Amino acid sequence: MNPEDSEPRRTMEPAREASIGPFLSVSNYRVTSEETDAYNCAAWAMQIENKRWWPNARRKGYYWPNSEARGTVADFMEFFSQLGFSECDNYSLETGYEKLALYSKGDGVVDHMARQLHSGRWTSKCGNWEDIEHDLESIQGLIYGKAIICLKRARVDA
Amino acid sequence: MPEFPANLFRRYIPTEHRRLVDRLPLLEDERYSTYLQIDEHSVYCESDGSAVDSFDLLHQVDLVFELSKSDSLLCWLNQNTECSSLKQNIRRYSQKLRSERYGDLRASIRFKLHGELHEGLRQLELKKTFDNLAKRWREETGMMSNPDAVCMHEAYQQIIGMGMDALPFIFVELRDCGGDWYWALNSIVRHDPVPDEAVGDVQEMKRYWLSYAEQNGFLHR
Repeated sequence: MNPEDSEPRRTMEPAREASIGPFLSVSNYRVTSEETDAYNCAAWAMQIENKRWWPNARRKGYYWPNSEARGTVADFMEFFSQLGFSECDNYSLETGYEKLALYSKGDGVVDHMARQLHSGRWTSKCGNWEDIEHDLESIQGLIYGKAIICLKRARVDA
Repeated sequence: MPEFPANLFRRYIPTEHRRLVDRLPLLEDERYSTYLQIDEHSVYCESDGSAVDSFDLLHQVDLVFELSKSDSLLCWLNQNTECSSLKQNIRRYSQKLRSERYGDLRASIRFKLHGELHEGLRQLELKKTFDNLAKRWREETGMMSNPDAVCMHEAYQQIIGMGMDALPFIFVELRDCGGDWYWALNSIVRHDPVPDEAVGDVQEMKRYWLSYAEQNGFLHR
């Protein structure tokens, strides 16, 4: 479901909410889908809902076009550059651009991706759990690390 | 119900059966008189389907079967009216075992008891272990986006460490709940039935793996 559609506010179970990180609270996010393992955060960032994407995880059940990629931040940046994205220096909403955020715990690998919505807020697929609409910082923590790279390209759906 | 004269009983029972005497009090439990139901593959409790009760019941059937072969015991029972309840139970279960319904099972009852019972108990323990690990893994990794972190979780690695024993449980989980079981399956069976074009497509991957499970006898129902 498009997270920007108007719908009753829904939140995760408190235990789930707490497990994502200390900054997630009912005031800064809402659930926008049912729980599913049909797609993951990287697929969701590309608005794909029927496939799971992740580098170097073929035997774990994830597709990635480049079998040489290892899952590093550089691998993600290279792949998304092929889709027209380039690194930018801020996470603010810019008219005419779509943005992606790469999250990492700082060890050189990507731990999560989020996509910016037209509203300027962000949408994430949380593992095999639900999609949520959230603030950029509200999912930071021990699971996803923090947003370290912002990618942008001209909106194709503008 | 008369008190069971265990000490007296032990004097009459052959040495090889003495280990069974320790379990005799359970035989007096009236619950078992209505629960016995045996089909081709299993013995279980009719009232609530409880596997634990069914295995208790198997113990009772085992006991009766062993005791019913002991002439000295039966002779002693016939001479001691205070053991009428015990005698009735033995007679009732013996009749069940000899009846037409269970006739085919008579020849295999010892195998069932000493093979399937122990295997069944082992499976119960394995399932309990698997369920605990799987629950912890789901709770602690369900939100994770990095598949490496998901698959390197301690509980997940312990499930892989269970080896082939874990496969039936994994396949049931995969079928009923989905999830990132593909790495565990690949690691345990050392074979990947999923073709390249289906990788990442959960429905397709599940279909290939569940087909593999059925073809190789890991998923019966």
